[in-house]
Amino acid sequence: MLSIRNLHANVAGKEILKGINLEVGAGEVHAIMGPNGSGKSSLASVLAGREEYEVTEGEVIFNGKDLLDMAPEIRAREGVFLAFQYPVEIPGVSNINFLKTAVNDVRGHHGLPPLTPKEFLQLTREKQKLVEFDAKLVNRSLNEGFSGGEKKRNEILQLAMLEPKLSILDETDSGLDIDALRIVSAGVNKLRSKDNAFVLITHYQRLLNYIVPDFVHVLWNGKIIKTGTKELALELEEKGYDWLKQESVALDN
Amino acid sequence: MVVSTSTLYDQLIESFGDVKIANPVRAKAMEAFRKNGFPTIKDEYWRFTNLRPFLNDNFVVVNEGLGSLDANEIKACIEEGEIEDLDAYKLVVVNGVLSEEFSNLPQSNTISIRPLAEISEDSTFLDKINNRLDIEKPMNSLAALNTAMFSDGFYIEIAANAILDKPIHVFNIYGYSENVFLQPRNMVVVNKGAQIEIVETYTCAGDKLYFINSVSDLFVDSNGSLTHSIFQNGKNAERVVNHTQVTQQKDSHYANYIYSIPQSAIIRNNLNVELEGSNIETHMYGLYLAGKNQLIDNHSLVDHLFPHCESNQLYKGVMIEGGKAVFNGRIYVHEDAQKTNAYQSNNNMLFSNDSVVHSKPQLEIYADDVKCSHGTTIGQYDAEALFYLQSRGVSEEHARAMLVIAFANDVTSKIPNEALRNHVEEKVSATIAQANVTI
Ligand SMILES: Nc1ncnc2c1ncn2[C@@H]1O[C@H](COP(=O)(O)OP(=O)(O)OP(=O)(O)O)[C@@H](O)[C@H]1O
Ligand SMILES: [Mg+2]
Repeated sequence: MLSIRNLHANVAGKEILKGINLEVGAGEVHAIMGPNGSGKSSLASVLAGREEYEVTEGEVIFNGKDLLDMAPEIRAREGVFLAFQYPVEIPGVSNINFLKTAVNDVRGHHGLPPLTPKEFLQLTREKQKLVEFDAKLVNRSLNEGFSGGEKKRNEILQLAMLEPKLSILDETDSGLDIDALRIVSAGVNKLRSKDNAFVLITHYQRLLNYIVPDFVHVLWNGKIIKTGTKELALELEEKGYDWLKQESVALDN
Repeated sequence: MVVSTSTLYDQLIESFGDVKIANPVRAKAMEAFRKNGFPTIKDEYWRFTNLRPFLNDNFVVVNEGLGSLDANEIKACIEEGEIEDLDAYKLVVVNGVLSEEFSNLPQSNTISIRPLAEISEDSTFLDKINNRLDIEKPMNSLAALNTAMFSDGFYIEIAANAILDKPIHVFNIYGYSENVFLQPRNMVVVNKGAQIEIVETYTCAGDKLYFINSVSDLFVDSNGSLTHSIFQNGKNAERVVNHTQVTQQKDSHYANYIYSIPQSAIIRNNLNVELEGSNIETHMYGLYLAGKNQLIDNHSLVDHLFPHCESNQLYKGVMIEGGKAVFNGRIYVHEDAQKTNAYQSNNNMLFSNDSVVHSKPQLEIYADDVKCSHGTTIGQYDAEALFYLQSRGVSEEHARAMLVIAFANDVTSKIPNEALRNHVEEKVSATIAQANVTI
């Protein structure tokens, strides 16, 4: 589904991604871990099409198409979804109207007619239930005054509504209370299918108990320095990152 | 010495007939214009709005009533001015003259809707026009010119305690086969305890230049309520200077909503409100979207003369494609006007790096127990928010429109009439979605 090959990217003239290689197949769940500032959100941003990032080398192929060539909204319509680490607040834009526009713009891209108000309401109700999202929040301004956890849940509600092929969750677990983490994870697990894939960026092994990954990658200094299975996450929990950093430096020399 | 566009100036002086000079108000007004000429940028209140380039063309100074529009053309103009789903009476004014044929007026003896010309010949009429409008001030010289020369417009009067069940939609329609300088004059009288809502649209047919120098006199007597919306979306060939003079008596309510979108080359709105009693409420909301080759200028004055009144001015601007805007909001609180609440704010959002906004609050407060505030902001749209919306599949154009509608929301949410609110939001969205963004 997703092939990232030798991806290099700069932000503000500084190289942040220094040759990322990653293959994500349909039906798979990948976890990306790594120290603060290593480039995890940057990778997610490049995939979502954030303008500040300049790709200097490499390619990203998504379902046979050149992802980097697409405008951010086209990527979304083609099925890439990024649940942001820090969702923005947009006062004055109603959550529900925004959802409607997004759902219908995505449908339009696939030659589908817009949902009728009734169908849309039904879909919203169903997905709201799935992530146990407070109905009151749906009618408020987009993320405005939402608590940290409410914002994260709203990201997952949007994910559920848009049914993307590739979902990238950037630290969605940070800021969620224990119950919310369970609910959101259960929601994600219900959304999993053989046709879609998830990339979970996280600092905590705990999330991976709920959403069990097929692969765990460690990103450091703009590169994936280690790939393993879910056991790698346990090992990291115990030993931290230093041993991997040293290995990586030794390898580079 | 007169520093003015001489040909038009001379033509105006010349066309001022002997008959009208017989009237002292008209004569005084003409004298004021003769002396002051067209406003220039040397006048503090016209500093950023240079009318000169807009007056240099050849214009025919016409009396209202002439002009050339056939029934089909009028119908087309009405259609253009239509507001979807607005359940309203229709007052169609063609070249300044009320058209019974195309109008659909309320059938009630509590409301009188007439051509102004019918009553302006009355000897006492000129005493009725708003004497709070100081035509001798150079800044008001165009209003003076209108006072001297107007021949027609609409007159609406609602009887005491009457409540009109639906708004009146005034279709101001113009059609001439040459460049024209027009001076319509309108008057609205809301008697004690009466309530009325007026919505105005403007449509100019053809491709000739139109310079519209209009004046409206509005009176809201005690306990009365007037809700007044003006929608300005003319063509580039339209140049508008519009002076609205409002007088409110105690316990009354006046709300002015003004929406300006491309492409009229210049729009200057003067809105002066005199609060001549206590417990008055005044709301002034403006939403302007200044586009290519366009200047939109809102000048307001709220004059607090009595205690316990509240005024609220909120003007929001969106600048695209090098459009320019001016906002000058004056609040004057007289010594006796204790316990005044007067608020003002002007916020601007830029989508163009060669747009210019001149924003100036002017507070003159001579009472000590008052609450007054003002604020101005000029900023770019939030790129993070735009990206967020796009990352969910919303097109850049839709996303931009959503952000602008969100920005305008504290003005549009105040529009009491849903059809009008939808109309404004739609026009603004469509304009912003097509805009070429350079920032
Ligand atoms: N706009 C920017 N300008 C300059 N530097 C930036 C910019 N955006 C990111 N960076 C830098 O890029 C590096 C990688 O940041 P990124 O947000 O990708 O890290 P991360 O792995 O997601 O970290 P965390 O675990 O703390 O979320 C950091 O050093 C950060 O300061
Ligand atoms: Mg991060």
